[in-house]
Amino acid sequence: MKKPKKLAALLLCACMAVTGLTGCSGKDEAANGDAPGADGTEGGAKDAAGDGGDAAGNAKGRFIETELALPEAVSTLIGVRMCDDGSIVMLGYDENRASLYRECSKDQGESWEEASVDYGDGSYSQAAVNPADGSAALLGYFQSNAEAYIGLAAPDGSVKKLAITNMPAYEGGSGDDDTNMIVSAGYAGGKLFLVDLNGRIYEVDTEGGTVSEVSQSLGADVFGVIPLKDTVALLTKSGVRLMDAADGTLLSEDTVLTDALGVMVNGNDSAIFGVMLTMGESTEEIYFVNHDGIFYHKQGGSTTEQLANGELMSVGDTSTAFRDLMRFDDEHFLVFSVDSLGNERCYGYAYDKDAPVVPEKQLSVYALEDSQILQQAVSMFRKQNQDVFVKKTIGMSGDDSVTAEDAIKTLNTQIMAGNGPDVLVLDGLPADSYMEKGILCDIADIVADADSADGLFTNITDAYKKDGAAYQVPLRFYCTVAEKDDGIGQVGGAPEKLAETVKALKDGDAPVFYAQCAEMLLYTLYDVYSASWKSEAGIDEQALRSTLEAAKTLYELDGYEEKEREPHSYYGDVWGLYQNQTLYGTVDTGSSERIIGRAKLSLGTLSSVHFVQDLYGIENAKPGSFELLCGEGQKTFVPLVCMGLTEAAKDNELAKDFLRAALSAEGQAQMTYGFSVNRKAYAAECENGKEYSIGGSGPDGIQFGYEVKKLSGEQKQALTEMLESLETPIWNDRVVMDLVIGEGAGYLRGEKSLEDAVGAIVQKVRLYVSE
Amino acid sequence: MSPSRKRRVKKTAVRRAGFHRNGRRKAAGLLFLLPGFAGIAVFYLIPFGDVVRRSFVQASGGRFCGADNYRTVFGNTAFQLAAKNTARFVLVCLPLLLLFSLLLALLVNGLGNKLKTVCKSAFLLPMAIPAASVVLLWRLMFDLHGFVNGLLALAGIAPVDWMNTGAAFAVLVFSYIWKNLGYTIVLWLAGLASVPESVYEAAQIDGAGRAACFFKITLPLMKPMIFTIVVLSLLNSFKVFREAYLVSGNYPQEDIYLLQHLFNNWFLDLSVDKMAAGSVLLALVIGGFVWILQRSWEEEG
Repeated sequence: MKKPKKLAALLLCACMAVTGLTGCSGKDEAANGDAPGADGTEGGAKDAAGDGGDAAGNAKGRFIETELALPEAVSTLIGVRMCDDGSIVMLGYDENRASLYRECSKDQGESWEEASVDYGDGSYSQAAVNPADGSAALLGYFQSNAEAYIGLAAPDGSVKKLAITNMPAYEGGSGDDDTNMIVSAGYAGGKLFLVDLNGRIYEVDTEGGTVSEVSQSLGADVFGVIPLKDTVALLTKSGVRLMDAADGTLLSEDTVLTDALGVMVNGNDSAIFGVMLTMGESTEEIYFVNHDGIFYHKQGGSTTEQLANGELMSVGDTSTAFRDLMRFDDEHFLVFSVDSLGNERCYGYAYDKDAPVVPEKQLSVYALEDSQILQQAVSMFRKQNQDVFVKKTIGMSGDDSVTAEDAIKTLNTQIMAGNGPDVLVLDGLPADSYMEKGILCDIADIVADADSADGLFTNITDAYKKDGAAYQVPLRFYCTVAEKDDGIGQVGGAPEKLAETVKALKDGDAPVFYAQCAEMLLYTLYDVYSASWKSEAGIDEQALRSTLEAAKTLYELDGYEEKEREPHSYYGDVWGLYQNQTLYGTVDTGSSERIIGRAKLSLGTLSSVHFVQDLYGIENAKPGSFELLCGEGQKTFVPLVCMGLTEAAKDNELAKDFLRAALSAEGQAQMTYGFSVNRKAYAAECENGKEYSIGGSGPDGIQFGYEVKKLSGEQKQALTEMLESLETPIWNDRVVMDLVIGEGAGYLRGEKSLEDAVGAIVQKVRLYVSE
Repeated sequence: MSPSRKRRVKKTAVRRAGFHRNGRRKAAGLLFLLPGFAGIAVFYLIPFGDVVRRSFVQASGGRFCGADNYRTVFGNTAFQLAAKNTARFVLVCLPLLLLFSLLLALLVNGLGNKLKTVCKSAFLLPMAIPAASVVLLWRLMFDLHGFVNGLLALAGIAPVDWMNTGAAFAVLVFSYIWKNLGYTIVLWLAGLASVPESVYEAAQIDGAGRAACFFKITLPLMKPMIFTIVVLSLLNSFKVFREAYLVSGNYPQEDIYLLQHLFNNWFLDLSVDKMAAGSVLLALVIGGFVWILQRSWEEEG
């Protein structure tokens, strides 16, 4: 009896030991599903391609990406589709939207045959290609007081206008503006379907010129159609629904597909999506692409299968949107997409059974928060180095409730354990501390090389040099400006002077500013004045007090109610956008208000050449000017994506290559936000600026419009001089910024006194500095 | 063989057998202790040894720097403030907690069994409330527009910004006592139950009053329990950081800026050197306090 007990005890001990040791082991990350392929995702690609399986460690088989050149004449794609005969038909405008072209490729996008489309005086924003014969329907605006029509473009380029007699007006229009618009369209089962601004889906009678609503049970919930042979995928706010094109009936809901598709709308343009679908050989097989990769799903199936991993492809860049996904066979796909700069892209994916599932060379990049600039840098490097797996780790992904502190603690633990990343994005991280502790290595030589190759804005990059060594370098930057009506003198200087200037502008009930929320205003002033607050003891109390007093004056000047200031009331999710670093052109928002007479002056960030073009456009419509908003003698800038290499990556050529590529003109050309630190890339941005018209209406139905033009030589010169004059980075410290914005907002809203707010900030910052 | 020699041999054999039995018992005891000790060694002792090592080396490069880290820590104003606040908190809280809990325990002890059980459960309730809920309660109670200020307003008293003024310290003390009172009462009750009733009866026959019984019988007989309660309360006082941190973040009002805030912020800053030196100092202070407490108890005993 004793022996079995002993044996059982021994067995139990052994089990516990094995379990404990296995649990502690963090040796093989791939085994824990951290690396792509470990969870069988890339294995799925192999299976889909009909190749056998292998152990994850040396498994082979992966889709390799190739970027295909698009026809030179086409700058903005308005429609693309694979036809029944296997050819690809594309319609697009040239750079100035002066000519519309129909391009056709019979070799899977390798070469294109061009034909000009005679579209007359129509204004079309979209084209739906009919896969049966390669013809296309051109779609645009439908104004209730003007003739509504669509253009039917034959394969030879001739266009026949078809009047639409019963197009409904836009139900959500303000004032007299009820202009309806086609947001999405596509041919399926030989029929043309379209979705309007009202969120309803219609079938178009291309003979009689009438539209009839279909699938009314979905209500006003649809925002996109993606044709799939005889089926239409309807993108709705609650997920994707499939509809039979023949009779408009909805197929049973596929929640697995909806969950797998993830975020479907990308950016502000609802005509392009963060996902695109296509159908396989059978009607049950659906393939789709999103930022996680290319997937296969069988309708009604309980799971989806990842064929290609987005982390290894350009589709992983979440700033891009998809125009179409084409499948030639299990091993060949084509993805048409548009990046955040509006550049059209075409990527071919071919399965290579000899390529390792995960590239052997790996580079780890860490950032506390994700940003488009980082995504674009990573995407660019992946494109240039397909044999390198860039593992991007985001501390605060937003999918969980991880706070900045939690994320930094985890990162610090990894660094102390010797498992730190190679490249660190230091935004929000304790950069100074990392420098002091020897975590970062000197990158002065890389910065110097980039400067001699393309020329850098050294006033920005050298601002971080200490005793000849550079431990971080910003990839982009922006500054704060004041945009104002003609006749308003210089704004800025000391906070007291700023307050006096704006007070003098107040004349009767006419508003000086638009209804900014407290946080937004404080962010703007923080960017201008924070550099001057730094003192040895912590923070200069008097300077801080002056800034908060000036902020209060600005905040209360127009007497807006708190409710009016709610960022969600009129401006949409501005606050969310700002927090996510996607809205830097706040001066642009205020300036738009200036056009319709709801503001005289706008203070905000000026973050890219594109926004400068926009400001000049606004100033052409309503005379005004803009100038750098600076404190007393300090011209500050806000660095974006400050990169550093860890000491562990000192001998890692890949990490250095990554930084070199990110600083190069080619790398910078891929980035959207901020001004480039690379002069060559900056010059190209000025040179290649797009020209277009902007129109809209304010909350009272007041209409406005202006033309955005490329920068003239004089404008470019003025902008360059302004950027070259920047000299001091803001006090780029998350702790200080959070304290000032948090306490300051309480003061502006009248929840606490100036004494209390200043006292709390000063006490806490002193404590912080003294640590 | 002479009889005496025989006796000696027999005695030695018996001793050897006894030694063998004792040795086996000791070995078995050690074996039983070993897993627990191994756990403590792996998760506490060895890491603490590493902390001690790190307190003598530089954060970058790991070069030996003697007592530099300790000098830095002692000269750090944030450390001075945190140490002062922590000591003040312990010195205010411990006596208050021990006194209140003992008084309440004596009251509860005099109740009937049913009522005693209900009271025990009620007092233990704060311990069962998760920290997140406690934080919510704090906010509801002590916000500028919170419940307490509402009551003050009814009484015509101006509202107090509890968490951003010196009042924050009182809130912290209140929170600690509220949370730990029940647990300490239960400990006291356990101690009171261990005193035999017959001793009180004998004393009462001899004419001893309630006070005499308390000071001459209850307190002396509960000495071992007092030691445990003091040590546990001291250690629990460090757990109050969780609520303070969740309510006020990394940089609270300076009166409730404790050593744990500082250590937390040093870790964020990767100041491992300072953190290690500070931790060693804190361990020495706590260890020293417990040792002194134990010695004084033993001496009195």
